[in-house]
Amino acid sequence: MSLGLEQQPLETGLKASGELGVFVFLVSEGLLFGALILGYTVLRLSPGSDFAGASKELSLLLGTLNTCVLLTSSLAVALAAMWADGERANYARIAMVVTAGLGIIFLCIKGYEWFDEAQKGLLPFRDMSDRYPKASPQEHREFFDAYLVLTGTHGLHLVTGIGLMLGLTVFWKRLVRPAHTLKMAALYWHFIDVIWVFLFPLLYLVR
Amino acid sequence: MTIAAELPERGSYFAPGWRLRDWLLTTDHKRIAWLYLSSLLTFFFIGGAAATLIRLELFTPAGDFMTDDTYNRMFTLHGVVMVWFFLIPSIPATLGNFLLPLMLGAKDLAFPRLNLASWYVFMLGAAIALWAMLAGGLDTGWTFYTPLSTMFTTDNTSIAAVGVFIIGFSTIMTGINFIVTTHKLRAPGQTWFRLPIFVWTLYATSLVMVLATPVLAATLLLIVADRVFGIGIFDPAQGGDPLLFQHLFWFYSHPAVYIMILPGMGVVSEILPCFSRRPLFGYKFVAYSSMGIALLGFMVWGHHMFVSGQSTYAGVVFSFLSFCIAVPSAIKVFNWTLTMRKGSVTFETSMIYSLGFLGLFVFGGLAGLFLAALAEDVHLTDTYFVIAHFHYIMVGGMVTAFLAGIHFWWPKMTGRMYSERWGRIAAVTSFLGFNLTFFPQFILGFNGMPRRYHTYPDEFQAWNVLSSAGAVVLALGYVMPLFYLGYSLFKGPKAPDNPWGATGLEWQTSSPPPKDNFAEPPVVTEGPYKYELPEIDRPVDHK
Repeated sequence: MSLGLEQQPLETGLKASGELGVFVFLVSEGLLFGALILGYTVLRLSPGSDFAGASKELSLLLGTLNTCVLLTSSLAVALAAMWADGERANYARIAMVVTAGLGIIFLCIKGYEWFDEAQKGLLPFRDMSDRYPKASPQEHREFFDAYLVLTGTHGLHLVTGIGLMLGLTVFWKRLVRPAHTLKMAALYWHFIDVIWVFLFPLLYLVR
Repeated sequence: MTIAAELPERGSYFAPGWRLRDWLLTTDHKRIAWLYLSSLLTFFFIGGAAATLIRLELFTPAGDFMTDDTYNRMFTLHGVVMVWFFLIPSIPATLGNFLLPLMLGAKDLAFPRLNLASWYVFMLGAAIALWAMLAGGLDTGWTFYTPLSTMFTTDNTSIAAVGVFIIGFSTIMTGINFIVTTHKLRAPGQTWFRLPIFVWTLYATSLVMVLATPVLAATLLLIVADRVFGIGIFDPAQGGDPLLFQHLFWFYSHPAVYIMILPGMGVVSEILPCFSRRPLFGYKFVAYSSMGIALLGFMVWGHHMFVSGQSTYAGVVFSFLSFCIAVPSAIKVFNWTLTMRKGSVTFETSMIYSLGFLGLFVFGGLAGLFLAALAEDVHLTDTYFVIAHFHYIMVGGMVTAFLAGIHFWWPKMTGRMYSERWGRIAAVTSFLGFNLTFFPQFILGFNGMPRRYHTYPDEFQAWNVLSSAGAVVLALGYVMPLFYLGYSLFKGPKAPDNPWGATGLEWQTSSPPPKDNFAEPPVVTEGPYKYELPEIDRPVDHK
C-alpha cells in the first residue's frame, strides 16, 4: 500500500490493488465463517436432538433490535464513503463516529444478551470448574456452544471494525488517501454486517 | 534480450546496507525473501533433528532410547515444524517472494509492508508454537485429532494451536499479496499466457492459501474454545461430533498438501526447459492443470477418513475424486518428460535435483493411488506405507524442488556462483539417501508396521535399520549445500546476469538485481520459454 502511483507501469492503479486485496481477504474471512456455520449445521442436523428448540431461549426482541442497529450502521458507513471525497470530509468523519457508535451499541446489547444467558446457565463461561453445571437439557448446550462461537467470532470482528472506524476518524488528516482507506474499511464493515444477516436468521429465526 | 548488460551499474539490492534495521525494517521483497529463507532453514533443521532422533529410536525394535511419551512429542514436533514452519511457506515465501515481482516485471509486491508484516506474524506464531512444544510438549501429532486433543492430552495443546492459528494469518497475508500482485502488477505485454509456470503455480497456491487456511483457523479456534471454555462442538459426551473435526481439518489439510507441492512443480517447470534447451511442452496444459489441481484439491479431503466411520457412499465418491486429481498431476509429468525429448539435456546441479523430483514425485504419486483405492486403503491406513507415500511427495518432491530452485536462482539471489561439482555430489547424495530412507518404509507399511509406535516386532528390524542408515546419508545430502553455498557467498566467483542462458524476465536484470528490480520498466513481447535448438526446430518460413 506504500507504493506511489508512478512506481508501477501499466494498468496498475493503486486504488484497484487495495480494493482487490480487501475483497480477496473478505473471501478468506467468508470461509472462516463458512466453517463455523458448517459446524452449526452439522450439530443441527444430527439426529435425536431438539437443537432448534434451544433457539427459543434467545431473545428475539433484542436480536431484531441488534439487526436494526447494525443495518443502520451500514447506512452510516455508506454515507461516510459518499462524503469522503471533497469538502464534506467532516460529515464523513461524523458518519464514521456514528458508525462506530452503533457498533458499540450493538456490542452492548449483545453483551447484555450474553450476560442474561449466562445467568440462566446457558453459556459455558458461567462456571468453568465444572463444565455446564446448570445448563439443561443436553441439546441446549450444543446450540449455545454454536451460538457462542458464532456470535463471539462475529463480535471480535466488530471490535476490529470499530477500531478501524475510530482510528480512521482520528488520523484522517494524516492519511495520504483517506477516502480510499475509508472505502476499504467500509467494505470490511459491510462484510461484518452481511455475516450478521446470515447469523440472525440461523440463530434467532429458524426455530 | 540483454538490455541490463549495457546499462550503467545500478548497485544491487544489498547496497542499502547491512545494519540490522536495514533488514528488519525493509519492505524490499528480495530482502524479505532472505528473512524467510534464514528462518525457514532454521526450522527445517530443527524438524530434521527431531526426525533424526525418531530414526535413531527406530533403529532397534525395543524402546531403548526414549520413552513413549517423548517419542510422541518428537514426531509431533517433527510434523508441526515441518508442515507449518517449513513446507507451507517454503517455496512461496522464499523463492516466490524473491521471484514473483521479477517474473512479472514489477518493482515489488502489491503490498510491501504487508509482506514484511507477514514475516513478523509468522515468527510470532512460530515462536509461540515452538515454545509450547519444547517447554511443555505436544503429543497429539500434527493433526490435533479430537477427542485426544480436546479431552485427554494434558500438554500445551491450546498454546500450540494458537501458534499455528497465528501462522495461518501470515499464510493468508502472503496469499492475498501474491494474488493481487499477479493481477495488478504485470509489466506491459506480460499477459496471462506469457507468465512463467512458476507464477501460475504460485497463483494457484495463493488461491488455496486464501480459501483453505481460514477453515483451519476456525477448527483450531474450536479446539481452543473447547479446552478453555468447554465448548463441546467436537465432544461426543455433549452431543458434539468428533468426526466434524476431521472433516474440517482435512478440508484445510488436503488442499494444504497442494500448497506444499504446487510451487515445487512450478520450479521444475522453469528448470527442465532451461537445461533441455527446449520450450516447455504443452504450456497451456501445464498452466491449466495447476488450476485444476488447486480446484480438485478441495474435493478429496474424505480420503483421509476412509476408516473413520464416514458413510461408504462418501468413501466411494472421495475415492473416485482422488483418482481424478491424479490426472492433472499426470498431465504435468508427461509434459515435463516430453519437454526433454530431443532436447540438449545437460546435468547442472539444479537439473539433477529436478530430475530427482520427477522420479520421486511420480513414485510417490503412484503410491498415492494405492491409498486412494478404498479397499486397499483399509489395509494400509496408518501404516508406514502412508508415511513413505507422503514423504516421497513432501520431501522427495517439495524439498528436492526447493533445493533445485535455490541452486537455479542462487546466482540471481546472491550474485555468486557455487561449486558445481559439490552441488552435483550433494544432489546425488540426497537422492540416494532419500530412497534408502523411505523406500524400506513402503515395505514395512505393506507388511503392517503401524505409524506412531516407538517399538516394533523383531521381524521389521532389517528394513528399519536400512531406513535409519538412509537418514544419515540424507542428512549429509542436506547439510552439504549449507557449506558450499555458504562458501560461495564469500569466495564464489561473481555470477553473470544470466549464467544458465535462461529465458524469463528475472534473468534480464543484473545479478543481484537492483533495489527496484529493473533499470528500466521491462516490456514483454513473447512467451516465457523461448528456447530453440536450430538443428531440430523447423525453419522460420514454415510458420
